[in-house]
Amino acid sequence: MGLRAGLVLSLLLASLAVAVVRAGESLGANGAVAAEKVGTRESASLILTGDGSTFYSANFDAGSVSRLSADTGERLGELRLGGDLRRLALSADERTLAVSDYRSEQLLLVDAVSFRLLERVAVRGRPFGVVYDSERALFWVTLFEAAELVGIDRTGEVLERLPLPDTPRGLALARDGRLFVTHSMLGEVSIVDVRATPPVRVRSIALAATRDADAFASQGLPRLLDDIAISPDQSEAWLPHVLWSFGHPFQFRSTIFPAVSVLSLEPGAERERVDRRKQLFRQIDLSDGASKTRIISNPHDLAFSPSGDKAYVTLAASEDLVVFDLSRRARDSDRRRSRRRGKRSQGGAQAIQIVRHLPGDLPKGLVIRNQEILVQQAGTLDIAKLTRGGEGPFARVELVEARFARLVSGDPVDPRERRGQRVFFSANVDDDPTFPLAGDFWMSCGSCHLDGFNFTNRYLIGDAQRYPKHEPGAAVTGHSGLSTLVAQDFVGDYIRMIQDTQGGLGADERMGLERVDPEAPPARLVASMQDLHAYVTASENLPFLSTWLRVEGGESKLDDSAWTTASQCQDCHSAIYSQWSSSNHHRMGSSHPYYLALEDLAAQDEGEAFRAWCMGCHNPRHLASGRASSHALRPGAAAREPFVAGLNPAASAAATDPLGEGTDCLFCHRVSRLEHAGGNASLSVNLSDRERYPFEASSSAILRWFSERLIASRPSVHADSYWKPFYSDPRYCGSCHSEFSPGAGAVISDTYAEWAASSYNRPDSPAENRTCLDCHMHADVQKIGSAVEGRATDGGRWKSNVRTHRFTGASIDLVAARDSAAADQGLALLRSAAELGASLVSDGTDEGRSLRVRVRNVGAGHHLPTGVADLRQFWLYVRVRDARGRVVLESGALDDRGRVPNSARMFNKVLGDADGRPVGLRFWRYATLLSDTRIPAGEFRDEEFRLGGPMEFPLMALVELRFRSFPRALSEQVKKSFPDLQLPPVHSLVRLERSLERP
Amino acid sequence: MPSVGQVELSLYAIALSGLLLWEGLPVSWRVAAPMLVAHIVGGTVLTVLVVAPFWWQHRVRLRTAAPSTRRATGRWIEIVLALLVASGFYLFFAGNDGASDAALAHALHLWLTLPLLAILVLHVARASALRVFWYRARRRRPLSRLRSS
Repeated sequence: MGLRAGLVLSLLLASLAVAVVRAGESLGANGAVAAEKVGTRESASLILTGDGSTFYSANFDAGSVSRLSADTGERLGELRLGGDLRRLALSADERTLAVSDYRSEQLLLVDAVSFRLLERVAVRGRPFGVVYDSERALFWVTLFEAAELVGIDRTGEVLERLPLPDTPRGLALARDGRLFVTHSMLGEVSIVDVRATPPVRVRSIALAATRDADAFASQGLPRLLDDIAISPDQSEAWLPHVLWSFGHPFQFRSTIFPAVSVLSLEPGAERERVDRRKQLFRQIDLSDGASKTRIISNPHDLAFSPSGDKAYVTLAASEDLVVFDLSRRARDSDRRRSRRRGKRSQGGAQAIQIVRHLPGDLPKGLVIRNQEILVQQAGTLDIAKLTRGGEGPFARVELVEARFARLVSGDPVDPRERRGQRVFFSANVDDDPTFPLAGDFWMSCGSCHLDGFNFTNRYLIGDAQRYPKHEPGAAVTGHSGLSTLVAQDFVGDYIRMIQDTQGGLGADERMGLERVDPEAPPARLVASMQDLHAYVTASENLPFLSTWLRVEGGESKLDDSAWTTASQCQDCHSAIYSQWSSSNHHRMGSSHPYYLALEDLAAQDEGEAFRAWCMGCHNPRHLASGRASSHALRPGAAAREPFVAGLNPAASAAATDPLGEGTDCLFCHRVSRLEHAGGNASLSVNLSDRERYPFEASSSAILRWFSERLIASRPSVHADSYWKPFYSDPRYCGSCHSEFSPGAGAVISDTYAEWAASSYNRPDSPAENRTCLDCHMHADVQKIGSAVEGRATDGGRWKSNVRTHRFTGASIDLVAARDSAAADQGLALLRSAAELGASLVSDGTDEGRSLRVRVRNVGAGHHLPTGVADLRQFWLYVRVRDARGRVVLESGALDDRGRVPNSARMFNKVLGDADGRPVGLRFWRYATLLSDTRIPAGEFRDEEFRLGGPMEFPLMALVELRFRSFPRALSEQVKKSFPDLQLPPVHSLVRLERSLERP
Repeated sequence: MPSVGQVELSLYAIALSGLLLWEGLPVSWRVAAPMLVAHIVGGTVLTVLVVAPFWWQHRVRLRTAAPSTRRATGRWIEIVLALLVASGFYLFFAGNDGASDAALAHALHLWLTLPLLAILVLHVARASALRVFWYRARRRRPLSRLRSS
């Protein structure tokens, strides 16, 4: 009996053992169930094959994809593709690899077997996240800038497109077909049903934005949502990100906080578990040896252990790994059983370990391979291997091999730029204890400037503006206290930024370091700042530093010969050329006296390099061709230009500078990319990647003539090469007609935003929608809203609506010297902008009477005035006579010097500096808004004038809205350099005469 | 004096180079750009040096050629060629700027090409330079054997 029982027991045990072994085999190397291959379901820069034997790495700006052995770290292959490769995904059969090229705006399809490129699929709009959907056999790709989700099959055909809210970035595909999309700069997650054809966005989850009275408590707007990871049981998703807290001046301990948000994925009831958000000083509260909470920064990527009991997060700035233990968190059902209310909720899983630091630079992607953690380091382009240390709650992660794998055979990035990149993105103070780049690991430049300098900048400014001002009128959204707004003394200003914003370089007094003097930095630090400068001025960032203008086509600057002059366009587009020739879009650079005066003043104050900020919009051709100033060929020379009426503009242009000036045909119509970053010429010009006609650039006049005939006989290629759909987008105008101060981020003007907020922005109602072009490129401002027929090409097709290139606007007086008809149009436009009203108000006493004048903005699609609202003069002239003809009130009359008195009711912005003093002409130093009496579109402003003393009724009131393009004092100053300058006259825009009876 | 074959092949070359310029075909600009030059320059040269002299000498047969169908096709070739030359000159010197007259010239220049080719083949018939290919395709025998048979 005993023997029989023993045999039975042995058989049972053996069967059990076999079952356990087979279950373990089926889990696969990465802990996932390998029974079905489903492809990559979460967007990542480092992925493992299903059997765990191989991993693939997207090597970012090294421009290659590597295939490596997961066992040995041996690089099995490296495919150089160029660009900036961010994420990659394998198909279910692991035969096709899709890689997102963020910079080149392509999805690259690679044969994973032969490891060769199959296809480059153009997907404009910064492709980022990639996952594979085995059900539909599609790669889903987020277009970060274009705000779209596209579905691409393995042949490269785009089969699905779904518009999404702004900045879609990370992707995670649940088994039931729900696709979770993170919106990096909105703090939202979209849920898309990709089983539907076409896909449908079913819900959106807005992550909680928090505020706390204690500025140093974790709080803020959820931002920089890069990736999202779904727990193995599909019940939750975790999102590492930061919190932006901008409600007070930048101070590193109260501005940026690391966080990991948790979503419950219950179908139909998806929501954020705000109570389980991981934050510093709560769920992330591990102390160092001195009982001080260890600070971490920039959570980047996250992976769960196969059991789901642990979560691992890379910290890209502090260069750490944080471990969360989910096994011991209270479940929701535990609440009822818990007797100790105070202990009931600890905010979910807690951080149990911070691995400080990961070797290498800039840790990003990570994968879990059984007990191994492989961390991809984007700065040093290698893989570090760590061990998880087991499954239990006391398991400790430890480094096994610092450089387990080298991702690339060679780094194509310039070493200085690579070092500069590290300076930009690192908050690891232990990297350089003498010159730490942050205070206590809190933040790096990359904590705000996602991926460097790009369109996300406008979210930075916008979020800063959301908060109530910590001081009345505070306008700086970025770095204050800069010496030369970065341009001239960039070393010193970088040091000031690192100190004042990030707490580095001795600014954090708790670190006991001597504060570095920005005026006299040590040589080693200077070298480091110069490296940083190399990164900041890289071609994909700010090559011209202060301005956001870029040159595409593989060149850092353009040769003069690359520019065709506008006069060649005149041959076939004579009317448009003539309109442009007299316009302010042409004459706003080398021949504009006010502009030259201000450019010179800016250079005098901030250094010669600061001219670039001005030239980016006013003289971009000069800047892109390497010219240092807007002055003509002779340094310091002023172009004496046609302000004297009647002078031939064409002859004058040839006499001054062969590059011409302003923005001409070839510039505007060869802008290849618009980056909606908030202004400052945030666009790219590309002269080289263009379909050309034979003999276009020939030096022979006969061959050039022949080339013109070729263009004329087949013009479609010519037309296509000079047109982009966004040329009619108001954001294109906004790329220059909005500006902010470099470094400080004070929004000096934002005409685009004013229009966007107005009732004229009606894309859903074409009949009511009015964009910039509808008024400022309308051939007859008396007929705005109606089409104006005409030809764009001499003898060409008759068009139902032709845009004038006069760019009718408020700066009419310089235009008047060249083209009176254009000036008349400008004046007509100004006169259509406002209406006046006048009434008497009284409190019942003789002394309590006032004249109330109402100015209503009825015609401008933006504030009145806009743009250079600190210099333009709009004011009220008021004169009231009583029945006996006595003047009982007069306001706004020019003084004997022709200046508008201070007592006049002006409609303008008064900009102040950091000390609250008016900046005057130095508007780039704007830091405080002293007053803003402009009138938004569709709104009005009332001005009251007290009426005192005896008077007989009825009163006769004369009210005028007057305009002058520049202040008299400024004009007199400029005239000293330009004696031919005609002082701008005063224009009466709107006039009202009204009889007023006793109230 | 250019031969029939030379004229015929010249017209085929001009037509083919022109058809490759048709935007309805997916021809890349890298090909179309030099083809545009070839069509204009080559077409002008061939027309002046080959087609025109032949036409001047050949047109006397409008009255004498037999059968009458040949006289008819010849007349049509003459008319169509005139329209093609005129429209071509218009497109070159006045341009295809989208105006109604340019659109008409473009339409004529494009759409008369195929009819021209068809009429040309009918007109030359057995004397066509393409007969070599035709007979080879039909009988799949070398021409020498055709002649011997």
